[in-house]
Amino acid sequence: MDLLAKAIDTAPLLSIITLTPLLAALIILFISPKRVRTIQTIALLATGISLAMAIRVYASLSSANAGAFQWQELAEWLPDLGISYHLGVDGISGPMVLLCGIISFTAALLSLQIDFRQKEYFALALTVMSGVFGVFTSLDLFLFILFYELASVPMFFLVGIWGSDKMGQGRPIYHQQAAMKLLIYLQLGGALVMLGIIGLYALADINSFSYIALLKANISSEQQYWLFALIFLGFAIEAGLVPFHTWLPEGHSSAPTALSMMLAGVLLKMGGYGIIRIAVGLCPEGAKAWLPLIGFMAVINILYGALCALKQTDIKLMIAYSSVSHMGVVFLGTACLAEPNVGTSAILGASGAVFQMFSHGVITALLFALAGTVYLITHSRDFSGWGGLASVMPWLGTAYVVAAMGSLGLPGMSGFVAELMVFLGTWQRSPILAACAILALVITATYLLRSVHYGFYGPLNPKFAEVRDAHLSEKIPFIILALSSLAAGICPRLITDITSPAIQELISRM
Amino acid sequence: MSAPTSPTIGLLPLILVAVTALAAMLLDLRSKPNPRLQNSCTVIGLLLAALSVIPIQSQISASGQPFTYWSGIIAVDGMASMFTALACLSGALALIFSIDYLQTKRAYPGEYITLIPFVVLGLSLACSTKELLTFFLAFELMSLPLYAMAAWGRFDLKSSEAGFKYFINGAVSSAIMFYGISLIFGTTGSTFFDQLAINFDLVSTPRHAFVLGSLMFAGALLFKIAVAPFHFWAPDVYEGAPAPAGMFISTAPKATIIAFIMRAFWSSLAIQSMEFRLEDVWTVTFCSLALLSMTWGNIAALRQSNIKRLMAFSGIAQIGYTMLGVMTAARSTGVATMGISAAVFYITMYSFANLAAWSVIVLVEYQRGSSEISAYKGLAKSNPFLAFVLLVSLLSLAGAPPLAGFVGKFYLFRTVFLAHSGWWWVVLAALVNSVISLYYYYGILRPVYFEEPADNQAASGELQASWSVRVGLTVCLIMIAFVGLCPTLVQMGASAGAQVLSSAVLP
Repeated sequence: MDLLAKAIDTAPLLSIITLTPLLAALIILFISPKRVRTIQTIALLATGISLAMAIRVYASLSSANAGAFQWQELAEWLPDLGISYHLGVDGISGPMVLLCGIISFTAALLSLQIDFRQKEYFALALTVMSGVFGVFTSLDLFLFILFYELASVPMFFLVGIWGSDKMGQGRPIYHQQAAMKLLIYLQLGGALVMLGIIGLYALADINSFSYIALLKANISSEQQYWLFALIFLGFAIEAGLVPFHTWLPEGHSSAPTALSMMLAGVLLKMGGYGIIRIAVGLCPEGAKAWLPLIGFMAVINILYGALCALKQTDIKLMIAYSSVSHMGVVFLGTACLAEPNVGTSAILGASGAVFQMFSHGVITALLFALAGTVYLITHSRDFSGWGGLASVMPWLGTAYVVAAMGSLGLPGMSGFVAELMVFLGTWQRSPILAACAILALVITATYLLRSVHYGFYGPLNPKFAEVRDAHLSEKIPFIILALSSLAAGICPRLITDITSPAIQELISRM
Repeated sequence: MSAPTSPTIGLLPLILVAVTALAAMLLDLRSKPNPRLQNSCTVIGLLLAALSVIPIQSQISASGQPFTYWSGIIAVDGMASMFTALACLSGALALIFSIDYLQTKRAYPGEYITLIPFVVLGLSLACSTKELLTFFLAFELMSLPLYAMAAWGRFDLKSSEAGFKYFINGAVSSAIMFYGISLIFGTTGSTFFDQLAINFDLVSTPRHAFVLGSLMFAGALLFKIAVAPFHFWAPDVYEGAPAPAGMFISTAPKATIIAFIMRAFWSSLAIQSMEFRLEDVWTVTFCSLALLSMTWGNIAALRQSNIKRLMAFSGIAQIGYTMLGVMTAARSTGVATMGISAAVFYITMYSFANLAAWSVIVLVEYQRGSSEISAYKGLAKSNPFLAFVLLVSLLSLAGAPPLAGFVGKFYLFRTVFLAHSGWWWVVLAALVNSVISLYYYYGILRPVYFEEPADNQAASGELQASWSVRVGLTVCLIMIAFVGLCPTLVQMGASAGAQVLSSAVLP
């Protein structure tokens, strides 16, 4: 046992976390498509390893060391171009890696529901997982772009092949078209980020894509102003900033369950993380100029997303719009960095933003997991037609109530802490913005409770009198996700302890 | 002889290609032609020619001197040998990928197999000369077989039309080129590259005639590689010509001519004097051509339903990206070496990805009898390997990581930025363009992966691809997938190769 612990501590854990899913995807390519069991086992094993190692890495972070990058791995790759294979985590990426581990593993469990073309499915899904892990662990910007694209390209196929259409009320959404839209938007975001990063590289003139080296680079305020705008815009498209969000509801609602979880749980966070880490981290002067405007847009995001969600009767679309609204909270928290010296505003707001990314990740993944499972059983995504499902599927009903409570920010769940931190931070800077944002909480509560009411309580739709409840392989992910949210809600210091020093470090450089 | 004449080994690749071409022709004359035998002999000949470049390359890098024959009419330097090898390889791959197609009744295998080595010979000669008239000869040696290839499906109206169209347009462009050469000769009194600049300073002739001549020369070159606005022939020819011919026409000439453009325009035609900086003229020209070409190509490709037409527009756009590298290879940018290697890397990777994608087009046209995109329904189910080839090659063309196309684009954009940070808008335009291109590249993959095969297609079962096609495709896939990420190879392309190339381009 000791030997194993020692071996783990000396191993390149971040590489293992990041590359295990990709390795599994490669192995799966060489397995006959008929051996579904083997493929599923490999996928679960790979994501399980990643999760375990992510927990190990997370546990090693503490308030003392999270301000700097830990577990660094550095190897020469393309020295002529100033590109290296450089990984590391700090207090900002730590929670993201953990989130990624949790979502990947639970998503892999729910992927057992996929009943055709499993080989291709798992190969692609595992590639996405490697991509998102890589985005959060890489400290080289070229590597970052590489992983970023690795995470977004397979989404096209995953949504296009295994997705579902939205029929029901309102405009139909076809998953093949949603896949194309998602791809174009994500790649447009990626292209803007790539331009910004090449610009950073060229203007810094140190022939290096290393994040740590670029932190010390000397770039004038005016150049930072434009670079920030480019990079921010790129990531904002990915994170669903209104008015660049239209791919998000369509893509998220059309994706297969496990991929909705990945998209909402982790891929959106790549945008939020990129803004804090790269846009703000490398262009602080630009950030100061732009962030006040972004705070304003964030409030629009929160309100607009919530109002749109209020209108939906398609459960996945409603959750997707709630994501738009909740990502607004991330933007709002980040915007607190505009005035790094006003009281505790910046530190509260930005830590709150990271907290919200984690919290929204697990809760929305849970919501999508439940919605997808109910869809699988009832073949209907229109919750107004479900009616009283809790009486036939008590497990799913209870879990949905828990998830809805977490999403609307019930104290004791993680969403509450995150929103509290962000609103407190914003209040110190601009009470009006905070007041408008808090207004959205009422709308959020309305649409979530409405979905609980129509979907799970009230008279049962006789069509669904004989349906099954959740299987064990579905219950486990629900429990993991709900417990993660509860743990972070009851003991917020699990996250804030390591996030705050890293945010402090970020603020000290501004 | 004691005089420092270069050993004949320098001519070996050219000789080998010429012998292969003649042998291919003779083999077709047998009373019972055997296409398979003829094909394998030609492939082997071309591969041998490609291999024979290796000792030449090593001798050049050891001595630092190119092999020169007949006072520079033929000068085999690093760049020449590299592009000779590339031309031979693409010829060989095109032949391998067409093996199955050539078995059909309506194909005339002998003609196709004979024409390819002649084109390769023209290409090899074109990149090994430093004299305008010889270049013109080589250019024609390459062009005429290409016209014949376009008209190769001789009872197919579309193919005849394609050949005719290509020939008329090509003949006009050759005439324009020849007129350009005569203007250059008239103003400088020489056709040797090395002499042009020297004579230009000595003779006080009207300068604008020289510029006009160079522009005409450029126009004909750009016509051959289908850069907008010289591209109108390309979609019709690619669509009308039988798929194997389209595959070769869209690939082989492009790399060589891009290399030749860099050599000609950044050394001998980039004349500078007090009031006169031609280099700036060329930079502006290439920059506007690059932007026009990628935008036009990408936007026009969006609406295509025939995959061959689509690939024509995709090729126009891809050449547009390459022109970005050509543009930055000017001496004045300070990153000339980088620009050259970026352009060369990109066009090489384009060749492999394009050949791989076309090989699937060839097979589908051969077995499903159509090159409409709707004919690709359910290819992933009926033939996973071919679908995978199409996937990888199109994703590489679209610039998805970690494939070669992505690294190539990254490398290009970075060079443009480094050359002049004020050119960020060029990079932005190129990036927006590559996002636009996703729509049609992924649009092809939609029927391939998302849909079920139509009944009559499912009935025909798995598409047959010979083992040699599979081997060739695997080579292409490895090139596309691993070159981008393998440091040693990238470095070879980036630094060592660039040194060789830049010494050939820049005097």
